[in-house]
Amino acid sequence: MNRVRSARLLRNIASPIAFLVIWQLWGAAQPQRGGYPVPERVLLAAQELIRTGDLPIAFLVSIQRVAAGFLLACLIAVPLGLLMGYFRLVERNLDPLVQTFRSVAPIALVPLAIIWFGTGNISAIFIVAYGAVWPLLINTIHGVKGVDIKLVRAAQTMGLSRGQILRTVILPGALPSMFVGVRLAMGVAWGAIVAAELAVGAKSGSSGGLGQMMFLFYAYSVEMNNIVVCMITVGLVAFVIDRSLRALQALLMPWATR
Amino acid sequence: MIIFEGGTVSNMGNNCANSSSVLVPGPSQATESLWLAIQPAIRYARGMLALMVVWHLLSLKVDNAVLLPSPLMVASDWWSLLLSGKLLGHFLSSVWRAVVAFLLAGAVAIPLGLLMGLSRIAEDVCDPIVELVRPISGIAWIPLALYIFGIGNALPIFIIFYVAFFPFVLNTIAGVRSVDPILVRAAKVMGLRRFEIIRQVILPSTLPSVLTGARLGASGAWMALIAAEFVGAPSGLGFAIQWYGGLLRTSDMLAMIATIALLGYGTDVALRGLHRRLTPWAAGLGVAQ
Amino acid sequence: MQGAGESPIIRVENVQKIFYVARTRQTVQAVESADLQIYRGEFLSIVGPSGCGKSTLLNMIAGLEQPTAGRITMEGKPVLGPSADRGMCFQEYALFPWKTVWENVAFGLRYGPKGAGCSKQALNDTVRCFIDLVSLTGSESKYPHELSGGMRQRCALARLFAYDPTVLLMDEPLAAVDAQTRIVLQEELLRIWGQEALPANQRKTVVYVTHAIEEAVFLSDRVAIMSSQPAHTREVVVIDLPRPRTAAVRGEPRFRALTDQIWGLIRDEAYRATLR
Repeated sequence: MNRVRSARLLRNIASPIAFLVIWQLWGAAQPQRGGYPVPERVLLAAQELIRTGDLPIAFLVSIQRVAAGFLLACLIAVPLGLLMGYFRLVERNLDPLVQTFRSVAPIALVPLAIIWFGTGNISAIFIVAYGAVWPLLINTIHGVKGVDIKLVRAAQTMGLSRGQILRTVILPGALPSMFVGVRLAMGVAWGAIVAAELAVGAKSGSSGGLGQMMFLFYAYSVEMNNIVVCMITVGLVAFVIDRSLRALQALLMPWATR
Repeated sequence: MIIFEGGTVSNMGNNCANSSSVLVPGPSQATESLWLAIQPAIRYARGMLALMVVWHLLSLKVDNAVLLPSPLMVASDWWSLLLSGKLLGHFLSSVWRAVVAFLLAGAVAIPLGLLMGLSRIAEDVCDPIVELVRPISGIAWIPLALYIFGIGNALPIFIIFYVAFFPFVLNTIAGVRSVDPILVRAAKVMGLRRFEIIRQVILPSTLPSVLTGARLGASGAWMALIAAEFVGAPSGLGFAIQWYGGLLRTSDMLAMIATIALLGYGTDVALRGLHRRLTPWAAGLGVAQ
Repeated sequence: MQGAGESPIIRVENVQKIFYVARTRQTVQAVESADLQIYRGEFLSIVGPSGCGKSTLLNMIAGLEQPTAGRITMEGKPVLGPSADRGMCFQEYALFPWKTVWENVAFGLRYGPKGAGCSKQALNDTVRCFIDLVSLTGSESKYPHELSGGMRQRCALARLFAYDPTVLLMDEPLAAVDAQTRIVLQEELLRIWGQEALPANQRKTVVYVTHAIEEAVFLSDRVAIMSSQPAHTREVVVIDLPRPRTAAVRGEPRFRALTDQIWGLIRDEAYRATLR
């Protein structure tokens, strides 16, 4: 049995390594097209960007906007979600609007945001919040609705008031689903900020953040290694956010196994 | 006197007063089910109407066509864009790119997903690479893809392909894994060979998951389309949005946004319906990523 | 009934099964030793408390699992894998949800080796015959999710019988239906098996695993009893109630006596298993 396990592990590790090696060799074999991105040069570029502080600063700008936008989204989505989940009437009437608006990608609202708020932080936060609101809302509603009605009835027969039931039965019951919403929302938020910064950076210059830096590297210096560094950073951050939230969920809510 | 839904009036008196949903036997079965069927559409229209009213009032208050045009203005601009053919032009550009890329993604991802689901070796080799690349969102690929493909059709198609690829693969793998083992056993004890088992049992079992992957992929694809066209295409709805936005023609821009919303919504409804038609035994949500 | 000197169609000799659970690094001994002889045309039940390995034994007879020690032979040849000669029916029906009743019943003949060389007409006739036999006429185009539990089980039975395996293995097929349906289906099962319509030497061999002792006594010619701790075949009780068996048989004193006898053999273990 152990042999099977170690064979699998070997394949798991060998595969990405082989991928990187092939990439490196293939890139080196290309005619010198000025900085074709290969793993080696990408690493060097990464070192440089971190050293000069460009990468960390851009990252901080982006992540702060994400945090602010996410918080804003929470403030809107959670109460509204609880309301809609609990009162069928509210949900039935608002649902069509929710379904329509959530299919509008956050990036589509960037020009509108620019018209309303300019190209600075507020626009960015608005876009992030808009993107994050939908997963949060939908998962909160789903969580509230998914609470087993028998649990509520059991609490009622124990004489709990409506408010108590909301606090002690519904909220904890909805929490796992809400947390999935948080995870999805953070993913969307991170994607939205990069997209927004990219879009704004492409059209009007100053926006700051990773997204814009990525575009600047494309538009002004054609430094592909730097672009790849940014891409990997974007991916890495998304990965870290997702995994940490998953771990947090497992820690806080061990009873809700997938 | 009690008035029932549908407008029929009856003198049934108080013994029926408690049940408010009793229908006098009169409307035929067909009319009843029609009434039920259009209920969601009525609710939708009601909700939309309320939104329009609020919007209109706000736009009157703001009184600035650049900042917040009234819904009437947006509607009329939408109409004239349609008549002038501009809307259709952008719409078709976007749609054909999306369709091509989506089908390509399916054509590549589904077989790969099947392979990875069925073969341990394939999974061990492909999975690390898939999982490493996946966190890099489609948006992040845009600058690099811009360099490789330049501005044009290839860019949006590539980005949409990339974004739709992962839900397809992951859901297909999940589908293969979630095949009820008892069904495989039942086929085994009927003497079926491995190939037949894959064809007759595993593939149909995987279909619901593949369709779910299609739905998830489609919603991601629309977002990717907008972003890609925003930056790197000379036409299409995404391009149109930033074009009109740049010209401060908010009303036209909103018309485009509304079109996209309807497109996204329509696709989801269509795929959901397809899901129900093809796989009536399996409804439900999919692999949240 | 097995004739004297007639050799068994299936032999289980000194069979052992050990499972290794990789995740917890534990070995589980599902079956310590099993010895059984199954004769052609008989209805043999296997009963025992939870954990005595009856389902594992049935899986090994089917060829879905391989014994860790000992051997199982059918008609002299060793059982190495699943085959259409040893058809199996499951507690959870295992009907293909995307196929109608008709297509499910036809499945074994259409795609399996048993249907090789079968003409379309012959296939259709067979499927029709068995759908009528299990009284599902009129439901041919329904999907499993549109059927009741009893109907699903009848469909599963029709599917099993349709491709004509030599031996029928049934793993608690009636466990998932309610008690009343269960009683009705027991009588139906005997009818479909042919206890009235077919002479003894033309009936199919059935190996039937169940928890319910009364069900085993009602249905079978012999009942094999298994014990747990360690899991092994303990004894075989001959059920000498006459055939055909009707509902009335359940009230007879001999029925009661046999049931008590079997229960006496496994009672202590059952208590231990439940109140552990």
